[in-house]
Amino acid sequence: MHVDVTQAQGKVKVTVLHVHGDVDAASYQALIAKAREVYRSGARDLLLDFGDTPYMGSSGLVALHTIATIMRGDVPPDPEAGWAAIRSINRAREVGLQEHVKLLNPQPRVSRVLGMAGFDQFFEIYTDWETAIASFG
Amino acid sequence: MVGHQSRKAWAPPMSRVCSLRIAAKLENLVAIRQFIEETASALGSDPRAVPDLLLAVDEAATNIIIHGYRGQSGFIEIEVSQMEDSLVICLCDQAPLFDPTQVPPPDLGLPLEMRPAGGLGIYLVRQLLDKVTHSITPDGGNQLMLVKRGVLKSQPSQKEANLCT
Repeated sequence: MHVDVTQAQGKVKVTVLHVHGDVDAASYQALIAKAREVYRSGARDLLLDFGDTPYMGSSGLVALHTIATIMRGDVPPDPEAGWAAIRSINRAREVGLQEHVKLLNPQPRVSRVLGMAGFDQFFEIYTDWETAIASFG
Repeated sequence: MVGHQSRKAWAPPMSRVCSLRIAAKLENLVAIRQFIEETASALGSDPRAVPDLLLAVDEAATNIIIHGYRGQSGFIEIEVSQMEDSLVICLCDQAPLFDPTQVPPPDLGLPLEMRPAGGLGIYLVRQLLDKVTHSITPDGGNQLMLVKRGVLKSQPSQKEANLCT
């Protein structure tokens, strides 16, 4: 898996992470690292483009939650903490829909995992680039 | 970590069996998923069931690598076979004995320190499959058997069937 970074201007500047390849236990840390890197560079609104991601496992779910936490400016849980991370996800669910991290074009297998974990309830998911960018801010 | 009844490893009476022996490394997860996708298809699985099989085996193999071998070198042996309309997938390893089916179901009321590491993966495996059992192999390793019922909808083509013994 590798991640390309682009930027788009809507109401606010949006950083887009284009995720190419599977997000599994071998690769999820790299996705978190890239999100942390762009946050440190000043990114505050993040669109994760999963149009070229054929597969995501539970490690990817932990990555998504960790990234959402990073973008809120909070200290993320240890991504290897398993259920601890999921408990935090449930806390995040209480916070409501994520305003600063959104998803674009998850493929069917990725959508299935997102749905199983209830992530589709608190991440906005878009299939159209322009609508996604315009939704920030 | 152990706490087992002494159960004999179960050997499914199958007509076609596909197997893979691969080093227990995270970078091999993609090869494991590819193997499951190809063999599930070769054995005539309903294509709609394949994503669930991939996810379940990926999570099970990830558990073996991270929580079983814990960085030590070793192998995972995966056997995919058919039994009536079910697909049976056995994962064997020589890591310290660990029965993931004994991981308690998720209880969000438990304090964090009581939550077992890796419980997320086995939770998904249980949700996706009809039967998950652990046993000890004759040589003292772990065997995790995963069963998905009602997925074998079609007879495999001769070419596909030749992929398996």
